[in-house]
Amino acid sequence: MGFNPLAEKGIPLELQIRNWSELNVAPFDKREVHPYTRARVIVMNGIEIESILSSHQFARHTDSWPVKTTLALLRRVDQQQQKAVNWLLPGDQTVLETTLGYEQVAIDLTAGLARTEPDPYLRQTLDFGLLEDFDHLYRYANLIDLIEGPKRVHEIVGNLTEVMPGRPTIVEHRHPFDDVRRHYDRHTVDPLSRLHAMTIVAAEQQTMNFYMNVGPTYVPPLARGLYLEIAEIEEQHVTQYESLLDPLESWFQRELFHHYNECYLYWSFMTEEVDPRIRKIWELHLAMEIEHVRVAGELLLRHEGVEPQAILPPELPQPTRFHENKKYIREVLKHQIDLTSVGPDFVPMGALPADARFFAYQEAVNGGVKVPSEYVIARHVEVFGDDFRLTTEGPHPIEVLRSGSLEDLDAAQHERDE
Amino acid sequence: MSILFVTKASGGHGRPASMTVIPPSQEVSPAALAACGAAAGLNGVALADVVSAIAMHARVSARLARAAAEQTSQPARRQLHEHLAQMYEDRVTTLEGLLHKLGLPRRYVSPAARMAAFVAESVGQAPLLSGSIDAGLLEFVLLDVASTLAERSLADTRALAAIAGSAQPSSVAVQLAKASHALKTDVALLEKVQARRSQELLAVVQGPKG
Ligand SMILES: [Fe+2]
Ligand SMILES: [Fe+2]
Ligand SMILES: [Fe+2]
Ligand SMILES: [Fe+2]
Repeated sequence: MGFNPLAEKGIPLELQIRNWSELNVAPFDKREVHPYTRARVIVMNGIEIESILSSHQFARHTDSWPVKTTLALLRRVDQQQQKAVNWLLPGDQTVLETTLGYEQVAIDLTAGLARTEPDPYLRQTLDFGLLEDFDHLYRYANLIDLIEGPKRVHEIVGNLTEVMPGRPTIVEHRHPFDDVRRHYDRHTVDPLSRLHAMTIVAAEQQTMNFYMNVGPTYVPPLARGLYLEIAEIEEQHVTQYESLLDPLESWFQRELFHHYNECYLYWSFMTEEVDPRIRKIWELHLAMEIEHVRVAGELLLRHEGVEPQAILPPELPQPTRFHENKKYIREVLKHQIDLTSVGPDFVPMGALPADARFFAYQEAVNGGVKVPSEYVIARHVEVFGDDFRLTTEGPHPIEVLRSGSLEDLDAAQHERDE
Repeated sequence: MSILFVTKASGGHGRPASMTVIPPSQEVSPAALAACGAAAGLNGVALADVVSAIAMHARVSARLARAAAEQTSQPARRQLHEHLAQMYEDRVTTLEGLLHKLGLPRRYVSPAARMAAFVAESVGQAPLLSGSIDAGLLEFVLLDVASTLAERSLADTRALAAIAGSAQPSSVAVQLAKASHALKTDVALLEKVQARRSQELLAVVQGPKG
């Protein structure tokens, strides 16, 4: 029998507020922590932030005292959860190290969701984004080598995620119209697809916000440039993934789905967490979220006449887990590296007509300047003789991306251009 | 009890439109849509759009009537909203039955039905602004929402009657006539809600002068 939050008893809402000492948790040791524990911390931070921001938006659309005050209370607890989660990150973990963690999340979370996504279009969208974040990890890995010295990458990502080129960041810059996607329909969507879409929106949104804010904290122009370039892709990713959500879902429904997704992920992560202290946090937050689901369900029933069990599945779907996706990613690389999009449709780059808006946008941002995501590799080759890679499964599945030499990357670029 | 919120688990089916994606397993076949009106000389896709949209309006109206019954503090009002909820549930049963007879899934949510849901749910959001009015007026807002939903229900009832009347003699025409006849029995209650709204407005205007 599976787990149904609606059938469980959570912690009463008025008992959920914690004091400063409880919230100021001891951070994990960045040298000891399992990379996927760090990944889970990053994901849950993003999930709480999205839930909080959505609740703030809801609050701005109502002046109903009972609704506004209930939202304020739920939101305060989620804010406290966000502190308890994000304060697990240690102060000696540099911004670039955290960045590698963020991209590792973007890769292994996206791949994990894609592999279990029931809808073909949503799955294609996830695969499409996957190859782009995969490339970001490669670019940042080369940057951290240049700025903080060698060995940092392996310490952060372990042997779990390979580091090598994906869809080159330079070609990810698309016209804004080409990042908008179609959306699921609330009446026919598989509940797992909805949770997937909400989860990836939250993860990409926090990455976008993070780069928007930390990018200028670096001094070297190359670092500042790479952050701003990739921050723009994360804007594209948020545009892409938020498009998947059905705009027909009402404020009350969304509020319920947010807390339900928090339940789902705390429950998923609780069962696979290897750090017993952090597992206790997931367990505690799950017990809180069970109550959030109940309260949000009451709001939905009172204001829309919908029983929460009518719109939620009878039990949580199969858990979302972090595991290696090396083989899967290599397969996607092999078959989809040359994809781009025209409006909501995915097409091979070679199929674009010469007057496609893609090329005009490319020229506007890349034309006649040093593109940071390319320059960071060139600099690495200059300084160390080659680019940084971390591969465990053999050579790159795309032949032209095999060697790390600058000439070969140039050749690959030319081949794509032709 | 009728299904008032359609999901995949409760048999939701759809048809993709420019921005919507329907899982292949939940898609209504274009052939079934085209065929459903053929015998009656009607455009099947459009017929299914209309019937599913009327059904969706009834589902949302039933939900909102239940919510209103829950929120009102006046027993007489509660009774009125409860009657409406029951009436709308019966309409859902009738219309789902009609879709079934047309050879379509009972829970077919067409693009037009999505729009009908959006329109009705938007009307139902009025109480989100309850802080802008006096407590007494909230009761009136609940009635106002009910009256607006009734207006569309009356229009839907007339539209289905017109479509049934235009159908060429066939088993489809018979089913349309049956459903139309069933919906017409609700007219009295729907008009009563509208009349109640007028009476209340009048009473307020004629009441103690402030
Ligand atoms: Fe939370
Ligand atoms: Fe990224
Ligand atoms: Fe991303
Ligand atoms: Fe929550």
